[in-house]
Amino acid sequence: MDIVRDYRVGVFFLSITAFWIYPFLLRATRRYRLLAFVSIQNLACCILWACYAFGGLLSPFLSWMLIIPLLSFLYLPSVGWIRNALLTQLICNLALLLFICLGGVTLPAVDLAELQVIGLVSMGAVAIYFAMMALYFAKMFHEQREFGRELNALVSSSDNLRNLTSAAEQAGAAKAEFVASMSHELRTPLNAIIGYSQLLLEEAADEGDDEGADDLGKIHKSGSNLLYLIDHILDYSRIEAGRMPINPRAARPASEHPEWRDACARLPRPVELIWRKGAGDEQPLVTDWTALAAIVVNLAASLCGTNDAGRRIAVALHRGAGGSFALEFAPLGRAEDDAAIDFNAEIFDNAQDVSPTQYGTMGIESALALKYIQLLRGEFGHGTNLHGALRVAFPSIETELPAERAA
Amino acid sequence: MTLVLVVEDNEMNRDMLTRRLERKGLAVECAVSGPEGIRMASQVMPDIVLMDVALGEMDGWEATRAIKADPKTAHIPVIALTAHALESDRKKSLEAGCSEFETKPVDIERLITKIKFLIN
Repeated sequence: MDIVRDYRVGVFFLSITAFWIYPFLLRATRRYRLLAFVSIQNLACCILWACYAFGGLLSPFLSWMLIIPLLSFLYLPSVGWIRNALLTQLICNLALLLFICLGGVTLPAVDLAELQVIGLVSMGAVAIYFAMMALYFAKMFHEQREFGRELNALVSSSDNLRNLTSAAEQAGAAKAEFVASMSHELRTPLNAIIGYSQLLLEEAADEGDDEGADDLGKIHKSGSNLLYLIDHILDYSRIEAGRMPINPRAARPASEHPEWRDACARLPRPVELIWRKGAGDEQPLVTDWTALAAIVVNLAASLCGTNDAGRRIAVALHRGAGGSFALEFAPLGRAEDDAAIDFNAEIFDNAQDVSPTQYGTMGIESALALKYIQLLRGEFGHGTNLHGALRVAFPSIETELPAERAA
Repeated sequence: MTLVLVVEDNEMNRDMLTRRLERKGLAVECAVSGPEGIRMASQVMPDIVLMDVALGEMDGWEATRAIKADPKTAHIPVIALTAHALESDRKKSLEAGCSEFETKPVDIERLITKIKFLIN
């Protein structure tokens, strides 16, 4: 047999060569699954042709039929309809071969003795191919098992983490609940102490009882200071527990700063807040004004330190782009102003948390101001408009306020 | 004389606020719950209502909504009294129909200023 010029060999090699087309087709069409089915059929056709042309059921190439399912399930998943389709495809090809070989179709004449050598090579190749595939599948199964084990370990760790997170959340919720209930329990008797002492103070003053008024004034002041401290600790705890929602509303800075001034005047160590007018004071600004008021009052108290003299601070608000804005604070009338700013900037620049107890009673104002600033995502910097000022820049707050309210 | 209806469930707070308001020359009527506050607002027709928001079964916001929903009492200004100056409380108070918002313990001078402003 002239194996080189034989058309059967030509057809066989042409069908083998067709495999070179698939990478290009895949790149062009991205139809992996369809091309996998077609290439498997292409392989089946190669083997079927080799069997048909070189001896039918006695062909030395028949053993290559065994590699079809191995290759099929290498390229496509052996599940569901794909598995069924591949098995059907294999059975159809075998049926076709049986029909050709046993159904009376005349096979090309071939001298099987001449194919002994190529038959042996073919069988050897199939054996090697099988061994390699078996090793490959064994490795794949091993890796799959390892992967499954790691996945189980990860799931287990994830479950543990979830349980711990849940426990932490429950603890946080319990703490917040405790804080909320303590707020009521502490404030109610304190309100009575403050209110009645104020009432008695007014009566004593009316009656000209200076000594009694003086004592009652001390009770009233102590009660007020205690309430001030409790309110700060409760606010701090509430923010820390994530129970302080941001409530944006539109308001004009010009209409809000008088309240800040009054609140600063009511501090245990009053601060005189001097408002520096800005260009955008009359324009509505959307922010959480209660949180902003807490920032201004606590920062003012903090920047003025513990000295009772010269407690004056200039505050200015500057509008930025897209609803952003900045507040600047400059203590006035004290030689140590710059030192106070540096001290506070150092506290606020520190990434570590500031404990309310770390800086003593008055230090809670710094801690609370920082918490509120974090709540509104503010950032510290150096003042640009007020000399030597501390600047806190705030991004715009996304709000879904109705247009008429924002206006 | 200006008549103030104080709706407050805590006896001491009620007594204290009443005495302080009376010292400032205001006439005071008291209610101890939301439903009683609604009923008294309709009966005594006060010039202004001071409404505690934490009142138990019916809170102060709900009572305010009821007062504002009644055409007979809708015109009466209501000042909400809350334990804490949270923006959410302020927002709820304004949404319920309150004209003003004051935190406890009340600053009597500021409260009187607000009362005068709202009545006039």
